Amino acid sequence: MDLLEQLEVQRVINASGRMTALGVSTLDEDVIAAMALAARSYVDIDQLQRQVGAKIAQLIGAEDAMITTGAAAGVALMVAASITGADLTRIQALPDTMGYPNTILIQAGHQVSYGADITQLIRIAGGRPHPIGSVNSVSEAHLTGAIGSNVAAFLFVQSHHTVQKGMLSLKQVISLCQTHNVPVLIDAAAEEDLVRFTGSGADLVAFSGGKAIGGPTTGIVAGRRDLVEACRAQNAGIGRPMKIGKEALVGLYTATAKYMQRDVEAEQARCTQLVDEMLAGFNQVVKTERLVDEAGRRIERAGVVIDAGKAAELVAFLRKGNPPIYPRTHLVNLGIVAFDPRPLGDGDVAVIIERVHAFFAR
Amino acid sequence: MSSLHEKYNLTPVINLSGPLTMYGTSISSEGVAMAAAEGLRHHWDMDELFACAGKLVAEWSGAEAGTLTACSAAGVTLTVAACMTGANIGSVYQLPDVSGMKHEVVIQKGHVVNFGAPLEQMIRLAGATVREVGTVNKTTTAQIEHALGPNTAAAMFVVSHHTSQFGFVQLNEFVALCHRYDVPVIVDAAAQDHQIDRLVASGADLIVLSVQKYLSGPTGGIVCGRRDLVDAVYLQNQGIGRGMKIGKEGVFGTMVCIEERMSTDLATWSFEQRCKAEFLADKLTGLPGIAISTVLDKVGQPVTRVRLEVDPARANLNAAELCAQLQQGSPSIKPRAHHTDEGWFYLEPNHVTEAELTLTADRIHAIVQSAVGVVVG
Repeated sequence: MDLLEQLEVQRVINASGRMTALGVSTLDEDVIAAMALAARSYVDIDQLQRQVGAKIAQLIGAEDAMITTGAAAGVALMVAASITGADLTRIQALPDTMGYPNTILIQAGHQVSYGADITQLIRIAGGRPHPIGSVNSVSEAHLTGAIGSNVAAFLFVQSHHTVQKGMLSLKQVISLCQTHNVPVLIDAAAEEDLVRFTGSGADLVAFSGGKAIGGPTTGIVAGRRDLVEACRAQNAGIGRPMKIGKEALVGLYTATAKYMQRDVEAEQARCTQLVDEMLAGFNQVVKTERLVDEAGRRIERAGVVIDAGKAAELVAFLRKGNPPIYPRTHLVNLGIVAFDPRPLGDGDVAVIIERVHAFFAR
Repeated sequence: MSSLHEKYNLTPVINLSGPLTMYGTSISSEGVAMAAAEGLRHHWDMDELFACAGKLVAEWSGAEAGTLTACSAAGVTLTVAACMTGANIGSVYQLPDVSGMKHEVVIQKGHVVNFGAPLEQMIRLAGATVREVGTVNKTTTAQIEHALGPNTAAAMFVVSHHTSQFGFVQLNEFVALCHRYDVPVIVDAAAQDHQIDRLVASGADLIVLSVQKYLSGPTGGIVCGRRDLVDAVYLQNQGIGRGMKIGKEGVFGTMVCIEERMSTDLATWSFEQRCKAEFLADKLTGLPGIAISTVLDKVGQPVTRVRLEVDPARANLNAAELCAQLQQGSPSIKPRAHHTDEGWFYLEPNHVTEAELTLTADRIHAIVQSAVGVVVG
């Protein structure tokens, strides 16, 4: 009996993206092998953490890096590090900040939920989120006006979840914050072009190890050596429940090394072909649209364009089928159901087209 | 160009931005302009005039009652004030001191927009405290429910292209939820007068609309909804609303533009807007690096716009630069440029003549060709 059957859990077709709720990604065989090997060995964890961090940093163009349980933990640790530095007393007092600067600036349109509320991540690390501007409009004056003696850092959220219009660009934020000596932290959880962010001039960047990189459930914090050290030092405090084991460390290293060597064009071509196939299939029964990524990443998706009510029905229909299909639902209230090619395996497209046809044939 | 442009040396504007305040919003009909002018020539009993206008607003909207304010921003402040004071004139005088009153206004985070000024400031101006719930891309009923409490004076819902467009609790569900807790709902629907039936049917307690946007009237705000709360809005004229009142000319202009709307066939009007958009789109096709399409408004207005997506690699200029150049010169052409940082913008042809559309297309052709020419040369 298959393990999933034994647990009475269904395999799903993930047409949604690198979604935590669906198991994020499937792992490469080399990554799985590395993890199995690590699981059979004893190592000095602190040394392994430092070595993996240093090697990953080298791969992605950063001074140093540390590995944690996910990008969410990474955000909390970056915030904590910017408040405490490497001071053990302050580290162990968190989330009490003992009166030290703890304001974390964030653009109003960046206060997202990625499954949980990002401002809560700031708060668990002792930070006080201070939104600037409105959800559709932030100006440089809002940023400079908010800078004061209690500011610990600026958190920039790079994500399709954020409001995409009217926000300050990363370049503007870094330039202004550098002028005023405010560290810039980036939450770049799902980003594919890692080097773009490590080389942006930001002080710390958090990535997910399980999303674009395709590693196990992990997060990377990369950036300025002293601040990465301060993130690692949180292991004696709030970072303790966010630590990861040897298998994940080794698995992430293997995945990152493979990811940085990947053939971007071949993967892009594979995705374009899958989108073409889906659009051609859907087109026989419904209006479609080739969707570009809201956050400007090089991702194309196949969109079914109907009305909002019908879109919600289609999503429910697909989820209830066998196997359950999970499309991307961010735009459902605009009447668009989207299908992401990246997580699709062999044969998934045919099943998706058949189920979409079945819905419109009812 | 009018005599006023010449007399005061003002730049003529072709407004393709939609009904934006900063470009004079809309153009009124001759009937509306005449009514405003005629209103100015006489004295009136203003209470009687407001009662008359309120009745007309109610008749048009289908709401219980209506009144008018200086603009929709004033409508937001005064509806919030009304929900805090009710009919208590002592409380009206006391604002913005809210001691002893319910004073929190619950709003979904994705609705806390800037429409030219921050919406939350319009709420605070009445003395209220803004209670934001959720995140910009997701707010749930549980979060709203958790925020409703003994201090909640009202809940506000915003219908606008400025807000986050997904992930929030929709109007009907929002109203039903708030009503379970006896909390009145204010809807800021400034530009959404074409959707008035849907808004009133939601059961919202107060709806705020702009007179000068798609209604094409003088600068003013419409408030309609529950009679007791509408009365409480009017009562604010003796308090903080004194500086937010509309004049007699505005009231007459508003009444006539509402009457004109009542005799307008919406489908025909919407079709005319689409034809104008397609006329302009036709004239713009074939430009290097600019993808042209026509798009129906996503918030629910029956308005079609032309969308220009600029590929800087081919056009040799980006969306923001194209918009900036359009505005230079005379007449100054104003695009709807909310999304230039995403590489595209709209042209909304509502209040524009065919000649102006042709002039606009010619200007865009000239700008793009000269930009592309730079590359070749």
